[in-house]
Amino acid sequence: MSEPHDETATPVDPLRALEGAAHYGAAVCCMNLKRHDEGIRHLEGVGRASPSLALYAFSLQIGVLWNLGRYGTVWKLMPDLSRVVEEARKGGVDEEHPDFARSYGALLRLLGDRPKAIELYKKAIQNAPEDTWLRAELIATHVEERDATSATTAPETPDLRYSREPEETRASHFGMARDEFARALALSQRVLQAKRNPKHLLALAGLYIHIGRYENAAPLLREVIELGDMQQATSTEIEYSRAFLGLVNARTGHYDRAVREFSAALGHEPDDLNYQIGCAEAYLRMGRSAEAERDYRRILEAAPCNVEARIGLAEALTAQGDNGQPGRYELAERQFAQAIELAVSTASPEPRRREGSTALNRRQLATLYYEQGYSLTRIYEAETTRGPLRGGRASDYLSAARKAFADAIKTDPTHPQAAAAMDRVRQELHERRSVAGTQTSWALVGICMVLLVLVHLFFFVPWFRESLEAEYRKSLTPTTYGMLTFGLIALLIAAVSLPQLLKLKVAGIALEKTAVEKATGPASLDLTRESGMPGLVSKPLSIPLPTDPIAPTPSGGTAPAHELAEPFEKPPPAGDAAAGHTKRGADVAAAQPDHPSPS
Amino acid sequence: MGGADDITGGEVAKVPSDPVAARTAHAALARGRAALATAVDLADGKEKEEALLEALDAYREARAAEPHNVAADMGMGRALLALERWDQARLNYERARAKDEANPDAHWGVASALLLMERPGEAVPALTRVTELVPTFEFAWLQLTEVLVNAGELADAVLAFERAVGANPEAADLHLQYGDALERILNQPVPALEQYNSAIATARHPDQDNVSAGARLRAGGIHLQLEQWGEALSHFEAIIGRHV
Repeated sequence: MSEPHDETATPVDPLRALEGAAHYGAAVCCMNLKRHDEGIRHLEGVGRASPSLALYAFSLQIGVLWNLGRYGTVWKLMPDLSRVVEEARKGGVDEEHPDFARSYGALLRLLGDRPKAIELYKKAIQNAPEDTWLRAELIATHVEERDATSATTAPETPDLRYSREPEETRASHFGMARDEFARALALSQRVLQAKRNPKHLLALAGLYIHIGRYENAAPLLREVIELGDMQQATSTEIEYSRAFLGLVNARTGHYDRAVREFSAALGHEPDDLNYQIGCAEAYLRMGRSAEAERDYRRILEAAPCNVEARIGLAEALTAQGDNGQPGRYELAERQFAQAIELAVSTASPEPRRREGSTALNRRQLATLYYEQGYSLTRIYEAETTRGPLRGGRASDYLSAARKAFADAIKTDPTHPQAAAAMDRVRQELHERRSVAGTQTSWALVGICMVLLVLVHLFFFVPWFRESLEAEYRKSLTPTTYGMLTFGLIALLIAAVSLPQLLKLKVAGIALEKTAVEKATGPASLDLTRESGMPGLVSKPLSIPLPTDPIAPTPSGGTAPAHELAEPFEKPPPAGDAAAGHTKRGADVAAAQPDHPSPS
Repeated sequence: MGGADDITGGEVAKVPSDPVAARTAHAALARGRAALATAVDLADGKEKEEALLEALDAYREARAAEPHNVAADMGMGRALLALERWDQARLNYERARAKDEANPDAHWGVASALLLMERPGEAVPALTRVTELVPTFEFAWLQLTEVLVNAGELADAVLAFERAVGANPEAADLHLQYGDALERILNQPVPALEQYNSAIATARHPDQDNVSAGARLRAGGIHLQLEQWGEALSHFEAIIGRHV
């Protein structure tokens, strides 16, 4: 009848418990009515009225703030997690309830404590082996851990959030995810054999997406939409199906369809940042950088610290630069710089110091540095076309590009393009030096020639000689003439040979192009443009990242839209609170020797 | 506190008895009632147990004096129930029921003992009889429907609920319970919502705040499922407003 409770739990007034549940429900309503601040106030009231609901309220609060793009506030709240969990324990929360594991696990994952989340999920699955959603969370966490163990933060950050781990550890996490997937798949298929329920269809589709089997997910999602047409699926379920379909299409390269599906999902939930990012990314991949830029800018207005959108905007601007608008590179570079700053701060082990939405792994961060270097190089090239007078500023860009490539290599020494780019920039710097040497030498030649002419004029033309004062005329001796003439000729020879001397030091580079050609020729560095941020903006199809910006996570966690729309049955204590007043039966009679009588 | 002796009290004794025995029985019944009343006021412990045993002895004496006296059997059943000697209590209630089949308390006593012995299936006939005899006795309906629901006899449970709310349209608890069954067991949220609304409308007394708030919480939950945010919010705010 009643659920097991912690014996040390503080007894709760049933009416207060009901009030807590009502605050929670009111918060959900407010969120859906877009009255977010009012909703957050309700959530703050939940824990006070009913401590057993504290964790659920905290989780929802974090989710809402996250969805609003208030990442800084989220990070400032996160250290309270342990206090909230303790409060919930004292309030008698059922720690083995799948919902507890779901909420707590999602928050632990946000903090980066995936091993603890994995343990939590495993324990909860033992108690609820039929819970496919919980298994999906476990799979996602294993995949996250697989990716994170190869990841770390910026080289500037001494306290790395992730340590490098051996390849076997990564493989084992993926193996565990695969095994869990097999179990969840069997379970899910068995459930669906009994009834084609939208919730279970979505759960199975989510499983396929987590493991990268998009072709299996798509028909299930379309089935949910069809059920929706027959009024057998809720608006939220249709919304998720659309968003999942958007994701599936984006991952399989059908960007036009992805835009359509994400737009449909946005029709249900126009403020959802994940859907907006998904749509913008699809535009970007389609080559429609103007639309992508527009969408990314709109996202950044709401959530300026969204790392994915910042990177997306930078990429859209870079694409515009590549399409003949070199002025866009400078804007792109600024966006890359901001994205790097945000990503590095978000990788801090101290949550309060984090600012952005995503901490990138080594490879992603290195690619970001590379992209920044790429933009800087393009700016340099554009500058060099504006004439020799702008040369000094161009050098600054080239030096900055060199630093960015160096950071890329430092962050990920195995980065495939950074090392080559670094070499090319180095060559370019040498060549610039060589050009500068040539220009200097020609100036010296000119000066020498002028001086030689003057020497001859003063020695051999009477008018010039007479113009000098008597004392100076005395010094026009054959010895002086010889010294001046031969000295200037020697200087002339040295100035003429200077460029050759400089070229000797960088002989390998000068073979390809002349320094002048290179300095004036756009795109001379010929850097390879990254086709996209691996695992961040365009992800490998086989391994969807859990930090995927466009994936609506099936279980909420950092994706609050799900929790918002989740039927109210979700927070178990709400039901318990009400059940506490409606429960009848032998236990009631047993408690009362003077139980009521019919008369 | 409706005591079993409120109903019978020996008044239903059908066999004419010896006046001396009747006086003895009457005195013993009075002692038994007093001891039971004392026990009810006491906290669990030795004193309470002693009071109950005293009541038991008194009722036993009454029955010895007047074996046909239903009140003595009822009193014994009640004392034994409080002493958690449920099977003996059941036997005494059954004895009373055999003497007076139309006595709802006797049926109720049998049902209560069986429920406490965790034999709910056997309690159904007794509970059904109670509801037939006293259709306005909400608690019996609640017990009966719960037993039926737990036994998976959903059609019977729905029928029982319908009769229950029909006989007790003002019983907020019954509406709430019916709604709960409709929502959670029969997965019929819309009819459940009607019952919750009835529960809210009928729970007017301050003592029924729990019922009202519970019904509002459930109704709000259904509105959430139906994505009717405004309606849901009004229910939740009503709970918060009432208890702030």
